[in-house]
Amino acid sequence: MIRYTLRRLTLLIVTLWLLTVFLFSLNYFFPGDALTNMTGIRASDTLAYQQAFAARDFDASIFSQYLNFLGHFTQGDWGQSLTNQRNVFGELLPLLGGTLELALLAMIFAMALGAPMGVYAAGQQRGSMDRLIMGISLSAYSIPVFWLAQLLILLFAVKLGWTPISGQINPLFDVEVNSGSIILDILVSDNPYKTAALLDAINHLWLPVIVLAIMPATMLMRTTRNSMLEVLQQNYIRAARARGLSESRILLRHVLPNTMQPVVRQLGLMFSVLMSNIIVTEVIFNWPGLGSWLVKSIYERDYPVMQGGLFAFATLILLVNVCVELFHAWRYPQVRKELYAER
Amino acid sequence: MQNANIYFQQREPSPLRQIWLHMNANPFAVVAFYILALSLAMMLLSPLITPFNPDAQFSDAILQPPSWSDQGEIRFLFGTDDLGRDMLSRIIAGSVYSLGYPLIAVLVAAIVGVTIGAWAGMSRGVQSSALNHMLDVILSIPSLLLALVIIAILGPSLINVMFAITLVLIPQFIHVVHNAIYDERYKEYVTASRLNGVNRWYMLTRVIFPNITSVLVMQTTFALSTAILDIAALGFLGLGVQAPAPEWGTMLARSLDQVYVSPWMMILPGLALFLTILSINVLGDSIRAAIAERVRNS
Amino acid sequence: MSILDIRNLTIELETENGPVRVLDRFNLQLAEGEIHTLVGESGSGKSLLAKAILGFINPRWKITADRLWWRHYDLLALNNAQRRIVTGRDMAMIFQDPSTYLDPNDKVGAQLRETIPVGDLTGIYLKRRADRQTRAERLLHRVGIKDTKEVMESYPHELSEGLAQKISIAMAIAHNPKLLIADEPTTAMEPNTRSQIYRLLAKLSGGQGMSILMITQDLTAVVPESQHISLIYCGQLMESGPTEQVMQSPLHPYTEAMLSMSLFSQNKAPQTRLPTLSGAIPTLQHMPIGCRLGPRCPYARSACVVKPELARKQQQDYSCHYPLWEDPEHD
Repeated sequence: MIRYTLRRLTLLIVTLWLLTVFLFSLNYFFPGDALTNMTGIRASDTLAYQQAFAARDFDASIFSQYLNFLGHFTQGDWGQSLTNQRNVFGELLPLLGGTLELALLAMIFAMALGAPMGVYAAGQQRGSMDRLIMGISLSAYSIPVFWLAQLLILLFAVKLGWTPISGQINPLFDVEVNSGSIILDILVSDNPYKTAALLDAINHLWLPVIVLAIMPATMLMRTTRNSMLEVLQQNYIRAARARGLSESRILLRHVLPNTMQPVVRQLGLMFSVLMSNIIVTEVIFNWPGLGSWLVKSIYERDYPVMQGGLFAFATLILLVNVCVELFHAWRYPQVRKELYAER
Repeated sequence: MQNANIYFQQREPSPLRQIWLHMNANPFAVVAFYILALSLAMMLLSPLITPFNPDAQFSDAILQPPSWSDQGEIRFLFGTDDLGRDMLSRIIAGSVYSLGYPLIAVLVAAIVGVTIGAWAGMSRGVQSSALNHMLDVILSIPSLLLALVIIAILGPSLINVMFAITLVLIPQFIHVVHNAIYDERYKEYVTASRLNGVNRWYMLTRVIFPNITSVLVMQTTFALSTAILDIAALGFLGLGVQAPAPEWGTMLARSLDQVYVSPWMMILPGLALFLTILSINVLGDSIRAAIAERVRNS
Repeated sequence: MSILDIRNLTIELETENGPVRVLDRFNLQLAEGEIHTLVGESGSGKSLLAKAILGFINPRWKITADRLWWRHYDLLALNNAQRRIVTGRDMAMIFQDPSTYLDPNDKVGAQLRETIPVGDLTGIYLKRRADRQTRAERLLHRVGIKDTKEVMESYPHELSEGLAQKISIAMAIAHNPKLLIADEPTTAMEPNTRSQIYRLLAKLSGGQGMSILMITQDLTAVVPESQHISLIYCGQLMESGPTEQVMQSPLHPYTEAMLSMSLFSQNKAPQTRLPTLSGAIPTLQHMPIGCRLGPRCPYARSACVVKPELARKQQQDYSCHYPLWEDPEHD
């Protein structure tokens, strides 16, 4: 396990390093001046530009330029925004909190909904409920997230008026932004209307969470069902029955853990899907998060911000994937053997 | 029914034919197949069958509801949008952008990806394993995000979106083909024909390829639904096909501010998108089930 | 006195081409503490028989029998739950590919401990837990595994097939079953391991009066401890009787063919062709009528299109119209 962990972590570090090389080269791919793209300092601001030119070793070879870039980058100096001159890294952290809040809640909701439904469908194999659940999940899987969001807004916000159309919280509450996660921010704030603010935040929150959760939930449902049907046919389950173990013990000790193995393996993929949906969802719901920030930066051709957003997204996804893989290998030991055997 | 011929032979249908038979047994897959065929026909004939020019603006009929509502008019079957353009014509014409362009992207990506994947699958050792690691990393990043990077470099336009989507799909094809060939090449039948002294080209095209076609078909349907979704999503974000082109995602983005007044502007293009993707997914799912069954039976 | 009594057991499978009779009026009696070997080629329905006895029944099978009795229970009259209680208490089975019968994601020790019947343990939780552990270790000792700690801490994929089979046997004997069905337990194992497993099974049977139904593919694998032997071909019982007797003087052409086909048969001149039955095993959809050996049998005559009734001669049951004996009145 230690060897496996080290290998994965090495791979992660190499990947992140390649990512910085990619980011560095992006400065040259993007239209315009490479130094401006990197630091967000325009050539019109002659003095600052000259300073940056010297500080970033732009008179030296491309290789030392990269080393210099890497140095600044690892110290959290990701340049400043071209539109509002704010520090990219400082701007990014609260947005990351907002995105993570949405993503985590959606992921939890998806698991709470998807896995039990999948198990239930597998129990009703080929029955009408199984077909119904599978049909619904395939349909829900095919709904483009931006259409789903609009439909639900039309239903819940416009027709029923249960929830606001967009935003994170009513600006009247004036919650100070710390972590970016609205619920955490309210909890740590000394706002006199804490409870009301919390309720308002939740009121804003539940619709985007549902929109985001639906696609991962359908994926989970299908994987869980198929995997459970597979497991139920395995010899060891039959043997456990033949040994006279109780049905509930077989289910809890043998069927479910083995069912969850492919499901766990898929969590990384599910998170990737969630991340691509979160970009669109944040734009629709006007949610202050990484996704809307990234899209806005692309509209505005704000290259330093774009780099920061891309790096944050890619790192987040890679980190989650590595964590999922490590957990998978730790919980299901025979995976490690397969991985060693392939070499 | 017992077979009439004395020398009983059980003929195994070819992998593709097995999938076809399996699909035919599933009514949903058949319906999905017809819906897809219909939308393909609609796309190819779109210049002929649109009732109006999709860009023509009827100033006398702005925001006309669909014909089945009380204020609707039969002239505009699906109503009109906020500029008085006929929704039906726009949806039909939009199929070129939302179905035709993804198809082209998938075809190009398939040709490039399968070629590289086949080459990688047939070679072994370091280059193959390094490629695999690279692909694992690239594939863990969602295709939409990769497409966004490329759009960010090139700037939003139809051509750039096509380029981005094609480029993003290629690694998926490489990965699938590489893995499929890798799985097959150590099976006994391949070893047997290697011992027969078959050359690599023959081995690839005549021995291995027929056995991975079904996987390829599945990957193609998967790629198609990804491509449709991504092009629509980019259109929706305003980073893809630019207005006034009647792309379904762009139409949806336009309806975002109008949801209160004219919900049909949002529902109809979305429905077209949903039905197309759903039928592709149903087909893909049925192919996946057929492959699973074949593996189980063998 | 037989504890397992099967008379005219018939199993039909529903297929696309109509029902297929995979087991045709099969008979088997098993006495307490005896080892009975069932020999048949692959596809002859021997594993199906085992499943029918244990009650792993697919709803698409149609099972009929004049008698399917286990001790004093009529197994066909019990419902599924009752049947599982009876078979779970009295019977156990071990299989080929033993490692696929162990949960791949659970340690061997945990799986072994959970098979120990709850009823055997008393006392508070901690004592029960300790008891379970010692009982599990004792089970491993009984199947000849000395290094209990390491084995119990490992996962199934870390074990060799022989070791996995020993653990399967340990799990099978955990609740002292009266009948152990061993379905080709040593296929794909090395000869050394194979004889170890057989010796172990024979010892267990002798030690505690456990009957064993040993299912195997070829006659050479019949262990010397086996008292009885039955030969099955395409779902029909060919011949059954005391092992020595059947091997010495087979009454059925099939037994004779199987014996002479065996590489270890004595009376064979060097450099002659190895005798085989002509033709191939028929597919399930195309079973011959009557005696299913008919088309391949060297002695077949027109009467063979009717299935012969089971006859008996000196403890030897056979099902053939033209048995092989030099009887002056016959023929």
